[in-house]
Amino acid sequence: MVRWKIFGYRGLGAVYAIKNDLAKQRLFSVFFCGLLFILGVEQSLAVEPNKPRYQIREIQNTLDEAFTQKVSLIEANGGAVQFSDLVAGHKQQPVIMQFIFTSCANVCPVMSTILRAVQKDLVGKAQLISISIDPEFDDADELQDYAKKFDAQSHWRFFTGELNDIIRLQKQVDIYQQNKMRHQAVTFFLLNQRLFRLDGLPSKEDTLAELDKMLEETQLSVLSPG
Amino acid sequence: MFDREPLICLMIKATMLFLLFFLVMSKATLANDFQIGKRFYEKGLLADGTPVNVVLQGDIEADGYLINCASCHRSSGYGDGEGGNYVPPITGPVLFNDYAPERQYIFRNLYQDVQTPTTRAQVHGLKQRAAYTEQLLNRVITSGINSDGEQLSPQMPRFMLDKATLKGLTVYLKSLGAQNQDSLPKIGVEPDILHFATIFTPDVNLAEKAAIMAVFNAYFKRKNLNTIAAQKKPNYSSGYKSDFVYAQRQWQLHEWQLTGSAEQWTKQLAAFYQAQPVFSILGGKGQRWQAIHEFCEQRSLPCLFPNTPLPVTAKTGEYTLYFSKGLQGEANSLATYLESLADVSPVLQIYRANSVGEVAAEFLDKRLSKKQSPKVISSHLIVTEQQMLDAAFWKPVLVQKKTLVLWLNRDDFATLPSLNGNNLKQASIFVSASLIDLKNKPLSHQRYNKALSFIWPWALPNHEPKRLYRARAWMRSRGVPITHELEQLNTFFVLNVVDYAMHDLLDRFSRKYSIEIIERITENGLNPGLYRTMSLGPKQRFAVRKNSILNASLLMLKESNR
Repeated sequence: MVRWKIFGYRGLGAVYAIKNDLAKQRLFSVFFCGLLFILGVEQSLAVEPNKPRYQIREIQNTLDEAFTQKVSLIEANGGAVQFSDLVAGHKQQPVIMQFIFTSCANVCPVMSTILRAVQKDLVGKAQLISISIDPEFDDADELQDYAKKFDAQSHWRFFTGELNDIIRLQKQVDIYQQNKMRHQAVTFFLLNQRLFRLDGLPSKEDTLAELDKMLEETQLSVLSPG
Repeated sequence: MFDREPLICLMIKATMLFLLFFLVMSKATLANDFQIGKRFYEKGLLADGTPVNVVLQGDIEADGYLINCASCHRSSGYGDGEGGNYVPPITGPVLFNDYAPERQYIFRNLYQDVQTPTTRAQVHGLKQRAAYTEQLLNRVITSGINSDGEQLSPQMPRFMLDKATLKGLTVYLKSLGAQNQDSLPKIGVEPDILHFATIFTPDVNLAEKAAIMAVFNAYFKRKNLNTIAAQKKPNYSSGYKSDFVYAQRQWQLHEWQLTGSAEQWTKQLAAFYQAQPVFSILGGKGQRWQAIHEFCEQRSLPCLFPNTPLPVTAKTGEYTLYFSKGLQGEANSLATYLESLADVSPVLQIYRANSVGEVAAEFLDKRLSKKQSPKVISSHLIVTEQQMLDAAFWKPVLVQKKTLVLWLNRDDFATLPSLNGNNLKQASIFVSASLIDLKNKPLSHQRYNKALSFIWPWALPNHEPKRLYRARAWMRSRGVPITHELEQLNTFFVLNVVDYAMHDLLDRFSRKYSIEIIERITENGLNPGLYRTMSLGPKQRFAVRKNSILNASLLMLKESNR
């Protein structure tokens, strides 16, 4: 008794089916899928917990467009700020910037926890900025609560604004997803006219080490010991 | 002689008493463990009430307030895929059983949500692991080593857990996602049928109800025919769909028509629910929704997007989702607008006693009194229930130099005399567009001029999202007469959202999980074309946040352009 089954064709029907052109195509697609599957497994083997959980690259040619554009933001404590003014200080001091939203479930709390951990080491040495990508929900009150929850010090500032402005800003730095729930863990470092993008979730030590490297590369010397 | 019988009786009695005591105590500790576990899971608090210490990303210290189980794995325990960041499910059946690749779930992971290369690799990989025991669970939570001895990602925090909390957490995790086939009918899930209900309060008129029900009926009919077709040929449906056929059921809608005053509704709802439990409440309409909101929260019953001007905003629920904050949102938007003006004449709010307008006026007062300076002064003109509105009523009102805010219904608003040629002394008039049903019934615009503005909760005219045309086409092609477009499009939205959510749920009938899915997908372009934007997120309960202030002259310009 032949009991096996291929694509819904049972028993001898399957043998007959394989003779068909359609079935041949299907057979080919099985091999093709198998190939992809093997590649997939290989790729998955490449992801080991000890491998770096983040990558950094420099963003070219975006800086002028992104950072001279007039985008108005509203700070959690109520003041209106031009984005270009906000980041203008990067020539003297690095600016570390993240896009978050306060009701976010699994990415933002970890992102913000990283800033919470490094802020103590960066007093007077860097500006930290978190911008809400859900500005219509994250009003000043929500952001203040969020800042409080993460023990934000004065050099870590939180911003909301008009939805369209913030979408424009996200598009400028190429992180805009149609649905905020798809937003990914990205941290920007802005130093001495250069913009670096960190994708992923580093440890505290990694974050500080990468910042040191960037400072060296961009010849900003504010983080020198002392 | 010493009689032995009573002693034996005594011993038996004592044993029974002891057994009874033991039984009660063990039940009590189990309940207590559950509570401890739940609190740890949702709030990150240990058995002694202090927040747990956490290490994540290898070297970042935090505590249970910032990071806890529910923040990533969600309160349902079914995990999350936010931002392509794969967080696996940790429900009881998943954790405490061997995990082997299961075709249907692999496909789900492959085809849904955005994925980073890492996530894609994770879900493509052949994952297998042994079942967790209490010891192994302790090890994975404290040190991140899973049941097969592998290290988890550093993003999974390492929790400093004590014994009592761990015991509680084990009990609680076992309860998550545990599905007892016998109890499913109690939440409206039968082997072949999935029950839903929609609710109408007594103030909804027959035409409105018929318009809404026509959308429901058309959608349910089509949905059920598709299900039958898929079930008839399980091996021949395209792609991987046939793998999910087993989870599909016939959808059945129950119409819960409430009667009498709001105090009687809770009882009526309980009777409806007892007669036929439902998985969730879809849409519906009513001026006041408080009683229904509370009923849904008590029963952990999802209550999705009713058409109501007065949603419950004071304390947001877990299970009740709304389109917007209704009249409270409108009042807030108006207040923000008035405060932004350089010079505002005193506000005079006009509404009928005991109407929803009265509640709206209170919201506006409350919001205006919040801001210290520049203060907008507000007074009220209350129309009694019997009073007729006519020219004699309006004449003295219109000549005052005031900002008039009309919280009136369509019939009352229609009595407002023509503003053209009227001797307005710089009075400006604001009207709630939703209260006068402007979306369904446009105005004859000759009567009004730029003194009139609308508080406008929808997308601006001629700037509607494109899906409007698709939604209208859907209704036309299904033979649904478009008589109350607002409510009908809203109903179409609810059905879309629920359809997607049930598709994601498969046979994991967790109401919490269904809400979490809806929080995630509401922003995915399901906007029926009515609103500028729609979006929800974890714990967010109002999908539309902004109202516009739209001057009547602009509206008329747009209308005459059409």
